[in-house]
Amino acid sequence: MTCFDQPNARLWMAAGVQHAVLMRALPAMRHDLASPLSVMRMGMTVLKRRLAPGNDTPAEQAVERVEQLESQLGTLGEHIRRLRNWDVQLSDRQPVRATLLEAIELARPLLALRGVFIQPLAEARPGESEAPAAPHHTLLYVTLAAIYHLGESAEIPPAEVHVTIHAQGIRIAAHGEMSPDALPPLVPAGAQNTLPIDAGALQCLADYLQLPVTVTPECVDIGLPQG
Amino acid sequence: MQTDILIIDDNLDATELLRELLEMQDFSVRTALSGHAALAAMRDKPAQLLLVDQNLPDMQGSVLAPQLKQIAEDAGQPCIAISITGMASGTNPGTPVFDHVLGKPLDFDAFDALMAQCVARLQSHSAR
Repeated sequence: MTCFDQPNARLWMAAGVQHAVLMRALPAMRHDLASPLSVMRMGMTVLKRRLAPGNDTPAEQAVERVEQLESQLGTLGEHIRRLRNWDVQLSDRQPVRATLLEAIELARPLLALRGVFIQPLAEARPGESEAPAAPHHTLLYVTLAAIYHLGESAEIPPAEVHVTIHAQGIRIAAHGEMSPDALPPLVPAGAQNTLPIDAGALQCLADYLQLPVTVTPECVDIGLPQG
Repeated sequence: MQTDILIIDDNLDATELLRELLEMQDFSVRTALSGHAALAAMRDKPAQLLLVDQNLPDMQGSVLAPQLKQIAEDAGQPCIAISITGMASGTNPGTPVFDHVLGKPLDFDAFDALMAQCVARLQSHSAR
C-alpha cells in the first residue's frame, strides 16, 4: 500500500491544492492591507511634521488629514474582515457575483505580473439572481484555482482570462495567446515554489469541495447548486 | 538643484501625501494618476526620478517604466525608476525594468535613504 492509497490521501491532496491557491492569493491580500496602511503611515508622518513646533498648520488642514486617516482605517478594517473568508470551516453563502468579483480582484495582480489580463466581470443581466447561491469559501477557492490553472499555462500563456456567469454556473475561459513581443513577465509561472495547479489538482479540489467542474484546455465550467 | 520627481499612482490619497512629504524635503514633485498621464508629463519635461505604482488603471507599471526611461534617455537625461508595490515585501534590489523596488507600507527610513542615494547618483552623473 502506498501513501496515496491511504484513506485520507485525497483529503490531504485537496488541502495541498487549497494551500497552493491561498499562497497565490496572499500577495494580493497583503497588497490590500498594505495600501491603506501605507497611506496612513504617510498621513501620520505628514501630520507629525506639520504639527511640529514652528509650523503654522491651520487646524482645518490637520482635521482633513485626520479624516483621511479615519477613512483609510475603515478600508483596512474591511480588508481584515475579508480574511475571514479563508477560514476553513466557513459556510456563509453570498451571491455568486460578489464571490466572483472578489476572486477576480484577488487574481488580477498576480496574473498581471505575468502579462495575463483578467477581464472585469460583465454588468449584471436584468433578473440575475442576487440570492446566495453557493458557499462563499468553497466557490472562492474553486474559482481562483480555475483562474490560476488557465492563467498560468506554461505552454501557451493566454492573453486574457474571462469569467462569465450563466444560468447553470460559471465559465472561466482563456482567450488569445500572449504576444511574443510582450515584455518578459515580472513573476514567471512557478516562481513562488508552488506546484502548478493542473487539471488533476483542480478536479481534486472541486471534488473535495463538492462543486462539479468540467475542465478542458481553454475553459473551466463550474456547476452551481440549482434552486 | 532640485531633483525632479514624477509620482505615478492612481491612489489619489497616497499620491498627494507622498508629494507633500517629498516637497517638505525640497524635491520638485509632479504627479500622474495613469500611465498615459505619466507619458504626457514626461514628454512635457523628463523627470529624473520616477516613483511608479505597479497596478495602474491603464497599464502595468512594469510596461510603463521602460517607456518613461526611454523618453528621458532620448532627451539625454539620466532617470531612475523605483517601483512601489504591495505585492513585494521589503526592499528589493530591483528587476530588469526597475532600478529599485520598495514594498508597501513604506519604511520611511529606507525610503529616505534610497532617495538620498538616488540624488547622489543623479548629481554625480550631472557633474560628469
